[in-house]
Amino acid sequence: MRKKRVSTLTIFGAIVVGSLTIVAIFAPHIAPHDPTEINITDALLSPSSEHIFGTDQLGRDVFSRMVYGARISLTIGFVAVGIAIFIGLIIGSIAGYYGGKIDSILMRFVDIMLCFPSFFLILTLIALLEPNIMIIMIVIGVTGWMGTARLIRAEILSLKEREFIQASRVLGASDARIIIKHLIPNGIGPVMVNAILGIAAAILIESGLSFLGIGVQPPTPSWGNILIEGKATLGVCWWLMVFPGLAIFITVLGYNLLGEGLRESL
Amino acid sequence: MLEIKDLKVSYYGKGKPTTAVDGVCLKINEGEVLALVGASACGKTTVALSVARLISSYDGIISNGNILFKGKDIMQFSHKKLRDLRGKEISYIFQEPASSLNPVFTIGEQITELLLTHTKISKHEAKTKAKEALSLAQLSDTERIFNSYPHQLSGGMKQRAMIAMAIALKPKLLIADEPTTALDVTVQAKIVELLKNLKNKLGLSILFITHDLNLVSVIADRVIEMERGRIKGTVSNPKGKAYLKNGTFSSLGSETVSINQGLETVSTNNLTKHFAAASGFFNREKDTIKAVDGVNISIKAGETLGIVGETGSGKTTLAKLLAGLYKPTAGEILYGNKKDFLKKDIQMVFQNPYNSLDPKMKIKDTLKEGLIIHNIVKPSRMKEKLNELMDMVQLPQKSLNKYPREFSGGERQRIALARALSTEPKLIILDEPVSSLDTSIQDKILNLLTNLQRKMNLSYIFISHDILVVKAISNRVAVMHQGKVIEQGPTQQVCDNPQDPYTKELMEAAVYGK
Repeated sequence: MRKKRVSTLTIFGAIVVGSLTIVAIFAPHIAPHDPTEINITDALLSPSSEHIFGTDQLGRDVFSRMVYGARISLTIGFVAVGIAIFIGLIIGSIAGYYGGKIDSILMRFVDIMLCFPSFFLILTLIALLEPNIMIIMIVIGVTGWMGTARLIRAEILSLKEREFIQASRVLGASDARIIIKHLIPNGIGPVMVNAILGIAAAILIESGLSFLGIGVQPPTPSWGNILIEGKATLGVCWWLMVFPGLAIFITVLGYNLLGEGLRESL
Repeated sequence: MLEIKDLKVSYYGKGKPTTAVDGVCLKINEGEVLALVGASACGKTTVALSVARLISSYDGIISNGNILFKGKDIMQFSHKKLRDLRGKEISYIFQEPASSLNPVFTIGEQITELLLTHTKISKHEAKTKAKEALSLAQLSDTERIFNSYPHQLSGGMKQRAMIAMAIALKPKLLIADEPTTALDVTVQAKIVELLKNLKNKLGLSILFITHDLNLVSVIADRVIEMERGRIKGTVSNPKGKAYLKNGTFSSLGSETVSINQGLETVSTNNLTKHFAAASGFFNREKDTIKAVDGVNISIKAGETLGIVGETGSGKTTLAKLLAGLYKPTAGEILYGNKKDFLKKDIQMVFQNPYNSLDPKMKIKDTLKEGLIIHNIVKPSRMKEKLNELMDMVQLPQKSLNKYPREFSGGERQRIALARALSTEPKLIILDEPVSSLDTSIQDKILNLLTNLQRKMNLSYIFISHDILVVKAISNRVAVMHQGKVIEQGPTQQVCDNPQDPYTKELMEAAVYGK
């Protein structure tokens, strides 16, 4: 019997994810300034005790904007992944449970979806639709469910032959009941790990979109659009790009480490 | 040859160390077969693993005692010396041949590799020796077996291949840990016969570990019984002192031997189930496997029909057809005299209690499932009904809030039975319900089944490969072989005076050594 030990990297990931969540929830209590308050006289101040991450071209406090940005980024991450899991679970469990032709058709559809380079698919969709937070979350979710579908299908394929599933069938349980009450709760483990990795990916996509200007629209702060505002003054005001860049880096790293750690302990 | 003095072994898992073996002394002489018997978890396997100090790979620590092999203390051996000892001098055969063989290498490669690691011989010589070992293990088609992968062999052949591997290096001591438990009865007898022959031919000493006393009496020179980590004593006449308390078993069914009146709960008419199977990788033509082939059986209310046969004889397929899990290819099932049946009237208890309960569901939710689906009780009476079910299977009511992992195998099987009882069925199909349990627990479950049957006038279909158990609980017995029922009739008649040659062989194998 091997003992399962939690690695320090996993703990680091958990701390990052935990503290970010706290920051996002308590944003109004943590941010020292209003993130949208414009104060031209204080424009482009370098980091100081008043503005610890400095200020941008409009004199807004970068630290406060980043704290609120964390809220937006995490919300997008969670909701987008939630939508992806919802779609993935439905399609994957139907494919895995019924098998045969239904399985072939649904899985070929998954293959087709995976053929599209997802970032460009998202770009196209957002360009056609109106870029607001709601649309971004839905688009990321709708283009990101394929991994979940494959995972839950594989789990269900092996679970459905187990005797407790046959036992419920003998009891007269309906297919929907077997899938929802027995198969999904038992097969959800790998999906949850995948979801944590998915949150990191969604945050990254949102930052990329905002950086390209079709993500979260100003004045709502997001890490991506703080980053693009700093681009113009990169040579002079390093703080406008370094802090949001670091925040994205550490967040994605944190989620990935936590996800990997959980995958290993499963 | 081998002497164990005052052995104490503890396991370091989570939390406190548990002592599995305490103060065990035993001695095996040259050319002797010593059998170590006892119920599971009594420490038999721990003793076996301690002999070549394999126990350390299982988080176990030998905290006291000496193990002397040919007069030398193994406890003082270096790692290199231990490696030489294992395989060359002492070799092991384990219960599950499938998991002891590496699935990605052929049998030949695995034996050859073993020979090359331990001896300085050429590859060609090693191959010849490997084939010799295979023929010693009475694998007749040596050349083919040599080039086969484990999955291409049957369970019995795999175990023979394991034996070939174990004797390839001509060890002095063979430790066989439940070597036949995973095999069919007819195969069991042959494997034991083989071990006995090898002992005589190679002058082996054997430490034979088992819970089956019928086998012991065939092979062992001496028998030692263990209980809770200690030696309980020497068993002088294992035949008389069986764990399978045959007396208790056979008294169960005897009172209800003839139930001829009463309605037929279920009967089948030429019931057939074929499965399609591709016959080979390049051959796209499909073969059909006749899993159940024209079976006619019937069960009356309050009666138990035992179905016996080897693995692959179609017992389980028949059970699943009756439970509605499979659709028949041909033939029909009559419920009373109707063709359509109510799912709640027929329930099933599965073989493996570790597999038949949803691990993510509390017991109360598992039991509620059938009650909700069939609207058996009003929501207000739910709690009462759940308690009633727990009482029926003699489990404490407070266990309702626990998860399956908190129960032992026997308790889980009681829960599975409670689930089957929840829909108030007329017939319960029991598919090997006690074969994965200890004999002492088997007894209790069988008693419970009999009591419930009397109280509720239930019918049972009792499927098992263990003839003794079937004999004890059934009113009538049907023998299955290759999908067909080859003989059926009252228990006494089929078991004591079998007509079909296959039935005869089966019955003889079952009482082997008596």
